[in-house]
Amino acid sequence: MKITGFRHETYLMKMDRAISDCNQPEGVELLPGSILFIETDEDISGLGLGFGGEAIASLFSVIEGQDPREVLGLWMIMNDAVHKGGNEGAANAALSMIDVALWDIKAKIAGEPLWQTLGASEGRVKAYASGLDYCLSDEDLFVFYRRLAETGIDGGKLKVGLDFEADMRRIGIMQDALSIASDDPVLMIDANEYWSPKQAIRYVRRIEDKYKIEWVEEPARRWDYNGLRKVSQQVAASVATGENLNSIADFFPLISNGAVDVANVTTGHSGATGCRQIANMALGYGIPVSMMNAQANFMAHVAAALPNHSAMEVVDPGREHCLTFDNHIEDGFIVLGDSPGLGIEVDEKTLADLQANPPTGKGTFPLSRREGAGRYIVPPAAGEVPWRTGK
Amino acid sequence: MKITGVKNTAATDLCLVELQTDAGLSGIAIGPPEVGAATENLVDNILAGADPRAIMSLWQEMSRADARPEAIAAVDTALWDLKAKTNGEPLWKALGGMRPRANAYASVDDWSGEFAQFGFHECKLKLAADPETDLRRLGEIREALSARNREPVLMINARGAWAAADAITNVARMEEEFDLTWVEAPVDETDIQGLKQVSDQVFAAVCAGRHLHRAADYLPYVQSQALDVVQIDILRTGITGALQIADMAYGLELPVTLTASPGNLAAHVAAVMPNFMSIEVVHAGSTTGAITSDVRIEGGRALVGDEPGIGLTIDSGALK
Repeated sequence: MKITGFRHETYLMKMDRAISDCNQPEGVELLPGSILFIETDEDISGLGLGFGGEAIASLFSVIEGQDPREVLGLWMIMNDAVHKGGNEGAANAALSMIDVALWDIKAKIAGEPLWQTLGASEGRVKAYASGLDYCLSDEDLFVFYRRLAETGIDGGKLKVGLDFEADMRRIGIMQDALSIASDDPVLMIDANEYWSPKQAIRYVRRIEDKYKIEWVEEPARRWDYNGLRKVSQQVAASVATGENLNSIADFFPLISNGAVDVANVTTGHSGATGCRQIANMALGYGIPVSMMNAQANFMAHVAAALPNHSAMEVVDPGREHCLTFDNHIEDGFIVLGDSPGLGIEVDEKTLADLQANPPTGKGTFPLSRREGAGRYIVPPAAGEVPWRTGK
Repeated sequence: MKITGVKNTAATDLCLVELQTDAGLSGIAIGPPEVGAATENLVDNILAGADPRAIMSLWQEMSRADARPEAIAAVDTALWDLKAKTNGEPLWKALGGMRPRANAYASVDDWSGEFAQFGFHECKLKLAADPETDLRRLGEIREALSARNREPVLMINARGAWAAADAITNVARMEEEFDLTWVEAPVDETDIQGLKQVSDQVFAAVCAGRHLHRAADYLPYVQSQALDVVQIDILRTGITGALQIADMAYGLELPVTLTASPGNLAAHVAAVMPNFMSIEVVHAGSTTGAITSDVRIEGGRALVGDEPGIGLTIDSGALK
């Protein structure tokens, strides 16, 4: 079997609701997406999801004509190909998408769902809810976490960082909403690198006067292993970090310097292959990993086969306009079906409609960084978020 | 497909482990001679009735069991053999590798002409005798390899025989005459501080790890910077464990070398290790005793064919 070609479709979608963090509290409604089809000389093609750009074409030339089943070997030659410029940015996004599409093909050839190809005994991954919710009103916040709690999810991760009193109130709302799924919901918070390490320590310690926090995510900058380690030492919560890194190479200084209690892993870590490398390194260090959210939850296939995986982030903002997928949430778990590969199909008509008539809306992903980050806190202005009114 | 049982055939120096399924296919592995009872326990308690494709989940369950690592490794390897055979692929492809051309080194007690035809340019000498003899043997190896028209790569295995201070003195003495790529087990392999001391004081890399079996076992070594080359014995780690350890080593920017394996089947596994350095070859021919392998050594590399599975054919009549 040979890789013969590719088709890369970019499009813009409007999510069912806005998403945000404390860096850009008002949030964004529009999300650029892309779908990669890797074609073979047989009647099987592979699907990759993400935000790939022009780099796909140049990286594709490295794997053209190769056997797609040799996905780990192809990962290595792609990684070698981007050596000089670095496995980051556009190159990383392309590498990540291609790798996922190759795994999709490998599993389809075997006639298995990807979780089975990767060696899991069942396609079942514990889930936690994550609202990307700084832009949600208190009422919508409750509705979001309650909706997911109704599917059995008993953990939630709230965006925090700018307003201590509001954050405390909203942690309580999240806890209340999740309480139908558990008497002791798992509470997590995420500051998206807005704080300095010492700001994080002071802020989180105050939260911990009242709440038991499972982890605080990105309480300092993604590279700052001294700062992250310090936070880990001075708060009760675990430090979760890593989502904005590119590869295992970026994790090296963090993990070897004791700066990671929970490794957030994602398809952006150089695909399913790169993601698993990081999980294996974390395994040696006794560090659990947690999969970041993914469109149609496709990375749950990878998570299902990681020995040290804890729970996967479910955001569910409505990003599956042109996708149908064989998984659902049940009893707090993402349950993957038996469809071969990723179990995802593309609705070409909807895709073409989106391309022909791009939606309009407020703000486009990704989120930017907020004034004051790492130095001083700039609280939301009146009207910047629905829960901040008046002066 | 379900696992139904295991058949062990013990010989003097090995045990053939055959994992049986209800589909008629069986997966094989070679373990040490006394591994049979432990594999039977694993199959009875954990694997019987399971889908053999769930390699990762079964590996986890086996790891939690109180079983000897060589038995877990043999069962894991048999599972991979089965998976690859089910796919109709050689192991290297089932693992996701590109066709291996794995860098290989000859592992000797003394240079022997029988290695010449395989084109090695790398060789490791197991130190045994007095220092003068070791130096003479290294010289002979260098001489023999120099015919390859590229600079020979020389390594030594000190078998954990020295105290750290002696190791440093002895290696330094050898390094006056030879450029050594690594010194393996210069001190007892459990002596992490000793390994670290040697690494700090000699020019050669310190290589160790063949006694370890899980990624977590390597942690104190890598945290202490006691290893420069991570050594993995797939007969102890299994294939699944080896890949985990190799990923960890890759993250730490440490090269990985694989110890000798039946039929040099480690060459398959090498194909998917991003920081792969070399495999050890003790028997360079494709047939050794009862084992015939789809791996052949040529030009100092281990090349692998397309036979489905781990590519080992066992002549059960020749098992002694």
